[in-house]
Amino acid sequence: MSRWGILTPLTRRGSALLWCGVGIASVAFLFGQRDLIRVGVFLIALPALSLFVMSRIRFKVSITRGVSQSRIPVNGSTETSLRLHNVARISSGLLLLEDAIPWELGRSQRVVVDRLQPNQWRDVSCTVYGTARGRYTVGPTSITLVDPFGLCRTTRNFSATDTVTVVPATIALPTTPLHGDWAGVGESRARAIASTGDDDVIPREYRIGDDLRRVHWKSTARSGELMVRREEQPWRNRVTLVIDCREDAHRGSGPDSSFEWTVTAAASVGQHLLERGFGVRIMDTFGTPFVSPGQASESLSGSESVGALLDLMATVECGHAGTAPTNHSLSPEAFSDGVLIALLGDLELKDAEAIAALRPRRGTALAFVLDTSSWGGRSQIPDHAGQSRSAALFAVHGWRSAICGRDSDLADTWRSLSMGALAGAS
Amino acid sequence: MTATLNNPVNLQEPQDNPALLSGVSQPELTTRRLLALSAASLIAVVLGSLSLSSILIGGGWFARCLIVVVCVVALCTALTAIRLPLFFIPIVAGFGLLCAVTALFCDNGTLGLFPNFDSLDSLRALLIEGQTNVNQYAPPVPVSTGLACLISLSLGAVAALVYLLTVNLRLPTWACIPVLALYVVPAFVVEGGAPLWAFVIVIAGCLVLLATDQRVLVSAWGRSVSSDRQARTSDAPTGLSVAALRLGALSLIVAVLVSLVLPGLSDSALNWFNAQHALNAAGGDDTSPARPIGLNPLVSLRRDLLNQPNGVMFTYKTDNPTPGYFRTAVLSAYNGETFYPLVAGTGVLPGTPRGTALLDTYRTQSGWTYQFSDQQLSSPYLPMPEGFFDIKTDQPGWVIDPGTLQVSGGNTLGASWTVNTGTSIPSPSALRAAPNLAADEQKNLLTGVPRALIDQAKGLTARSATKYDAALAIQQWLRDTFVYSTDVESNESASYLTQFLADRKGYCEQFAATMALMARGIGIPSRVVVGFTAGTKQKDGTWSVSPHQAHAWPELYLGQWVRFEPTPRAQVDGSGVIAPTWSLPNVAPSKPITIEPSHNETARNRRDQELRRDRKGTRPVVDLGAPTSSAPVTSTDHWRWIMLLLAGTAGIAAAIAPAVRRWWRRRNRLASGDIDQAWDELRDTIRDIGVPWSDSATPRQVAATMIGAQHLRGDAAEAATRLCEVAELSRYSPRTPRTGRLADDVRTVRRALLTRMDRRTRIMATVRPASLHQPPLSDSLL
Repeated sequence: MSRWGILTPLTRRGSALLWCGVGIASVAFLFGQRDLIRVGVFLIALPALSLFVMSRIRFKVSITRGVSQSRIPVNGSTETSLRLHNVARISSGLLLLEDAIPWELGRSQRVVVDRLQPNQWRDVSCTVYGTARGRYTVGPTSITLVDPFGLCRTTRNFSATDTVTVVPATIALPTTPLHGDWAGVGESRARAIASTGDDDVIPREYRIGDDLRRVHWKSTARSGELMVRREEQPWRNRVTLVIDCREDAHRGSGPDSSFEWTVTAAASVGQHLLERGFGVRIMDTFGTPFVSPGQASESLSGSESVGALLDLMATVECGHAGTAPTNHSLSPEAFSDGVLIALLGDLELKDAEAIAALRPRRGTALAFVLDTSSWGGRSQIPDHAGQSRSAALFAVHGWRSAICGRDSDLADTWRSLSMGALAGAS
Repeated sequence: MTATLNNPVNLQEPQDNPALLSGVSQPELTTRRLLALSAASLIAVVLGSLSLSSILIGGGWFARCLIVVVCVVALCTALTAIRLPLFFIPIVAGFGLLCAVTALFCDNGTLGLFPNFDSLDSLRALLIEGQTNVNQYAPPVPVSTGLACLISLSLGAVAALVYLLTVNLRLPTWACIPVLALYVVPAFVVEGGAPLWAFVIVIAGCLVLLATDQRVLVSAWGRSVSSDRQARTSDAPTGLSVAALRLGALSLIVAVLVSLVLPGLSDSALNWFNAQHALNAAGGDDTSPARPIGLNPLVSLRRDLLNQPNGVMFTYKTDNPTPGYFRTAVLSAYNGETFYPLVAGTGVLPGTPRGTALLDTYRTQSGWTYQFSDQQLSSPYLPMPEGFFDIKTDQPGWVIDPGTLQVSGGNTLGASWTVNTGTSIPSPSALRAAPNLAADEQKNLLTGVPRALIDQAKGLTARSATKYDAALAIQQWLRDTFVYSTDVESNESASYLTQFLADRKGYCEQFAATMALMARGIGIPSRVVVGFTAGTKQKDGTWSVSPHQAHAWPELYLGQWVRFEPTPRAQVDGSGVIAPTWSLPNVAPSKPITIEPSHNETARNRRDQELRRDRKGTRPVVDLGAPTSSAPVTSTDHWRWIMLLLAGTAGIAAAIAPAVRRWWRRRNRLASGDIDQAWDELRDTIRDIGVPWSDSATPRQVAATMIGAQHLRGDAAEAATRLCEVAELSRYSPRTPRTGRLADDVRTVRRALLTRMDRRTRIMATVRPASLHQPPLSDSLL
């Protein structure tokens, strides 16, 4: 703290009064002007007393913040509520409470609290709006003390914060069989899902309740413990979503950009497939998987992990600085089974070829090729292949692809892609 | 999530968060806030004006002032409510103030309300009357219509200023200054300082201003969640008002107590300092020893004039309604540098005729009586009215010098004396008939007189028929062409009179000495007299003379010693400087007023009648208190010229206002060193020269357009590119750009852009900047 540290709570007005007072009082003293001495002393006394009173203010307040939904879609809203509880035995004075809310969620909540009686509380709520994807911190709360003449001000901070995640606003997709060829055969999931899977049966330890008829004797003999055959379907219905996160590949800015459309589409497809029981993993065109911190494996599965998927998609950022996609880390082996779904922006011809070659031998590959020109602007890819050429290339490699524009309806596109009746694929 | 905060945690400095209760962001002025702030400024001005009642007698003025102040504040509120641009509010408010004063004090306004030339004339007469009242009386002053008008006008102006500062500019701290100024008036004018209650109410007014502003800021800060019973009724929490009352009262008590204790230690630091230099001859309760008699009275005169504007030199009672000057020391000798007194009793200047002992000449049965009792003044000279013939004093040791009629030799401290005077008004005809001196005597007079003064005097009086006319010419010349000012060099140098001639400004001592020497230069014997003017009349009928009324004047010998007054009166209002009737050309030659001392009673009546007639004939009915004053009243043309001049000034001010605003805005923006501000400045510069600006253009596009379309080359192009880079970095990059050369770059670009325009565009860009009429985009977006 500086030499004048004790004066720091003074506002500009307060210090102006103080120094004016010092000047007037000393000049008046020199000239023996009693009336001016009075004025000078008053101008010193007012900020000084105010400072003293402020330093003596004691308060003890507990603040509880609640956020009704910690995960909201873009353009959705949620309520945050604050409960102020005066836990001291004296009533509090005037408190200016500010709950810091990032601007993407709206304006900071500011509340003037006058005189909380001991053990009294007040509830304050405020609506926050998600305007852009992301993880946002709500809080911390700070309390500002002011004096009645605007001469002093002190701010004290709480530290606790809450998190609100603004996730892409997903679109409900129609449930259509993914494997177009078998679409008409039936609803049997095991057949409809995939024709490939893990070959061998992995035994596991016996658990109480397992049927003795399932004991796998060979393994039991080998390991010395009672082992049983797995009852479950060993084949994994796995989907890999590849999102084009290259900055150059997209056009438009902010919420109205081809990248946002891509993320929303990926989130919608991912959510839809998770709810249908697929294991979903997400990666970018460089082969880097998107993994949330607490996630055990690369892929998510089960409808309970929809939230994790949405959280992942909330923070996807457009763009590593590199321009050309380097596909060497993406090898066909990585996609040897399951379904591959790619959401792609502008592509150079060679990139398009590289990606087209990734199609799993026995699997299905779907491509959303974005017509980025419908978002305006010029392509930043120098040797831009064009959507129809890319789509044709994908078709040659056995992909089903659809060209999507700004106004395309995702549900329709999804239905036609998965049914395999798309004009672009032919 | 729960957090409990105990005191004191994390004491933070007040941050420069613009929205956090600082003056940077102004809360929206809702009707309720506007009314609250307006009411606060009204209360502050009214409380401040109440403190004036300590220097005024009677309460009649207050109602009229209240009306004027309320009118001004109401008008300003209405103007603010309709969102009149700030620039026009003081103008309209000033006009409104004039209307209010016209309606209240003049009966000849257009429609009774609007000022016209006639009403302005009567208003001016009223103001002069008020001004005269202020000068004439020691406080408390009885309130005449003129004074009430003067006070109303001043208070109305103060109200407009306070309102503007509080409501429109949101600078309530500054608004306290005019309110405090209202308190300073009684503080300086009233002897012994302003009363305590005046201090308390003025401070209360200031506190109301500050507290209301803070309430508005707090209410604008956020929602109020005070307890339910008060939540709906008030805009701001009540806890603030309670705290304001407590804190304000406490500070007031501290201020009053401290001010009571502090000066008790020593009356003032300066007084103590003065006591160390025991030269102080006069002033208040000072009891420093008397000044040695050898000291030149001129020195103390100068000190009185400069150093002690307040205080009392001496008081007296008289039955004379218009007392004249009081003489103390007479300086008959001139040594080439300064006038000095001869030792009492030998007061005959070599080469001049013996001063006639006039005592018997003035002796009459009836005349004026002056009573001086128990004086605080410490002086070796007795202040004596002119034309005295009798003096009674209880103190021994006083000697009347028959040559100069100065009374000296004792000490006036604690003395009482009574003086009888006759009236002595010399007739111009008698003065004209005074014989000239013999040639060798005239030559003797010239000893030590500067050559320049002799030449000047001879030149001025070449056409004067008599010595008396010559003296009048010299006096008139001094009064007309010289300016009164105490702000001149000390008189110790030999050439100070020459300096006075060159600068044409000085104070009474120099006027007196110059006239005396010029008179000697044309053969009139002369001397300088030091003394006092009549002083101001007190409530209880006594007159009080302050150091400010110390004076010096010349006396010329024209068959008798006659007083002249070369010091211009108009510029030393309040000093009571009044030229004697016989020395004014417009009275003297045409209407000789001869009064024999022996016919005193009838003579006085006659004189009064004459003067009254004279006043009716030549001037508007303005009682200036002194019948012989020479107020510069010539005609109303003068006044109209002033009005035209004012109107012209206002017009010029209105014409250059946009340029000044634009310049001020540019200066602030560039001084901020902020790229956003600099970019705004660049935008406005481009708008000023009439080139369209696209708000959606990126910095790069702007720079390209500027360099391309306006053909910027060299330094200017580089500066524009640099600006563009800084703007891009600050907008799109986490890096902090270097902003050191922003201001210079903007100026370079501006200069380059302007030089490429034709002259008309250049002038319009400076005088009528188009950017002033377009709202700053950044604000409207937020």
